[in-house]
Amino acid sequence: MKVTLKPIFSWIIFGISMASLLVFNPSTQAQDLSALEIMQKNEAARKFDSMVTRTKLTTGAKTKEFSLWRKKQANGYNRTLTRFHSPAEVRNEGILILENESGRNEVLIYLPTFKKIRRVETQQQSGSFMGSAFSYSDIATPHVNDYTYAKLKKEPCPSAETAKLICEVIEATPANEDIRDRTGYSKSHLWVRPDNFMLVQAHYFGLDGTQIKILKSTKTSLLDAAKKKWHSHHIEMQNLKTQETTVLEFLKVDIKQEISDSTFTQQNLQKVN
Amino acid sequence: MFKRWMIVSALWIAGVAVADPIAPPPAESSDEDAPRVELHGRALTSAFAWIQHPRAGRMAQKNFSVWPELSWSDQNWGAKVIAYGHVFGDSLENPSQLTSDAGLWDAWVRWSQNGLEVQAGWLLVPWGKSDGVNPTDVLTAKDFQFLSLDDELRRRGDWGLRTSWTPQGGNSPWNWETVIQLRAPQSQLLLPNLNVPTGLTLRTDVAERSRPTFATRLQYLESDWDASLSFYRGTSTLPQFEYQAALSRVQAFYVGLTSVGADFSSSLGNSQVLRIETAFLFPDNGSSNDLAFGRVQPHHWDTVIGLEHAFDDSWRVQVQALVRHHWNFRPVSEVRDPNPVVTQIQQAIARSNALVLNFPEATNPGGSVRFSYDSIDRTWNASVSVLGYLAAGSQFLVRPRLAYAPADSWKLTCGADFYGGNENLTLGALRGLSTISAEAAWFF
Repeated sequence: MKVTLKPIFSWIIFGISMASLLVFNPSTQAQDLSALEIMQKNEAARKFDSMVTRTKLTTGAKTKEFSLWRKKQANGYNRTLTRFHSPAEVRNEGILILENESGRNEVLIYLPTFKKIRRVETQQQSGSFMGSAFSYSDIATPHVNDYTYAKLKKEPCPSAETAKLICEVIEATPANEDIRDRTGYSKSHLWVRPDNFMLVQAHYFGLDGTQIKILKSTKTSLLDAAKKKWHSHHIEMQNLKTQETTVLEFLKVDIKQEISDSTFTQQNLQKVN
Repeated sequence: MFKRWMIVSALWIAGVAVADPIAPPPAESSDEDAPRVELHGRALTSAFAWIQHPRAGRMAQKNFSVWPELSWSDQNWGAKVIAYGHVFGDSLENPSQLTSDAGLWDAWVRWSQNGLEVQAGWLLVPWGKSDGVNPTDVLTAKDFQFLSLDDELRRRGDWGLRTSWTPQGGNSPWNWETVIQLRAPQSQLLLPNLNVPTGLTLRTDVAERSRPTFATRLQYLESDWDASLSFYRGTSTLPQFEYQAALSRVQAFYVGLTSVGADFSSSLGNSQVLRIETAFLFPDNGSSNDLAFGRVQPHHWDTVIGLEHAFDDSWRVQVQALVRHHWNFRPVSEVRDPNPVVTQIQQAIARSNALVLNFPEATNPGGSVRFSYDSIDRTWNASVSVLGYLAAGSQFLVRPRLAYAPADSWKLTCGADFYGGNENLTLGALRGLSTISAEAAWFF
């Protein structure tokens, strides 16, 4: 019996291993999915029900620190409030980003010196977020339905921590003119990891079709294993026009804190010490 | 004087003490609700020089100023004290003299819970949405005799109590705000040369007839538009002049004022924001039945309609149409008294009030334009603002500004205020007070 069982077990183990590879191999997973399905999984992996972070924004020698509160609404779109702590000149400045289905997000800025709230025009939302290489639209999260997608190619993921993975490169095109105007991008090329569907790199193209920005996401970790939620703690954006690079670092991330809807109102935006 | 120096010195030392570059960073995000005390502020030095003959080249104001800010917050409680301290080498009041001034700028205690907020203390409550000209901004005064490249630093508040209530535990788009002040703040005017008749003295430093202020505002704040209705009953922050025959003097008064206002702002297309602000203002002695009718500013209607347009990430323009209309208006020439001497005096008073409060005719149309540029990294900022009115001739103010921020905590600004136009009108009469200026500011 001993003689006959051994090869049987070996075959069973081999079979299970092969099945596991077929089912769980990340490359195989992504390969079978359409571009839209990959991006839906990307959105599912990166979008939290709520999130509170302490964040550092560094451009050259200039560093700004802010807190960020973000909450997913019933329609799947986020509401985001940022409140700056430093430098002193922008301390207590608040920015409220209200995403909505029309693609025309509302951005409201509270200026503590004036004690007033100013609206940011939709077109201006493609402009620099607090003097950084990020725009207001970059800080707001992209919504999967705001774009159409096409697979471009597969290639090794372009970062040291994902070098062994083969990324799917997907082209995202704004679904309508409002989204084009708001983001200032005619299209973007997205390098998506096959294992957790998180973004590794993105190339952004301006309205004239030329490439204007490069984004790199690293230090990606699993924050919620039950819901398979991931977060990139280090995001670098290079503006190819100005040759400036900004690093967005999440110093602390809390996804368990309950956030009241009243956090994202104009009344709360102007309530500062 | 010594006491003021002590206050200024203490404020400055406090400012320097907290500016330690190796100070520990603020609390982490998860500790947002934990009690914390912070000390911040700004310090600046600036110089303003006259540019109009005959004082051209002489200093209008040289000052070192500091606004230290101490704040504390807990989950439901918050408190803030911002004081100001100035040391002047020259000032409009005291040319070529070393003087100082200090006081509270914004200081209060606040409690808030479930959409209700109560704030008490020395309050600055600026209302209105339009750019620079705000008909509904009746709760704060401005010290125009303090020259500043940042107009907001001229604001002056007073003791008061403010409540704000947002229904549904803070989630409703509706908000109801109420402000009560024991005394209305009082603006100090950058007075043009008033033609006070010979033999009379001009008193601009005494405020009387001030009464407690009650103001309330109902706001509807949606994500893509907002609007508000406001009511105010209190005292005007701007003075008017009256003739006191018994004392042979012209006296500045801050008279009672009732106003009803509204404002609205909304995104318009992809690159515009529309702002409208309007108010009906009823000074106590401004009705056509009042004995002072013709000599003081009558009841009137002020409106601003503005459009802000962004050309791209850096360039933008704000254009505003301004209208001030007095539906009962008596021209200066029709102000009469049985005594011809008194008629002369009363007409001079009427002219002075029209000059100071800018109502040369029943309707005074005007406009403002502001072009601005911000470099993408926000290191450079340049702007040119023009404000003008057309009634009874033209009058204007041109205000260029250029700012450079070599580091996060430093900002260098230079600018100018050019007043011009008909010298019998408000901005034209200020022609002699045109200045060029430079400022170095440090934020800590």
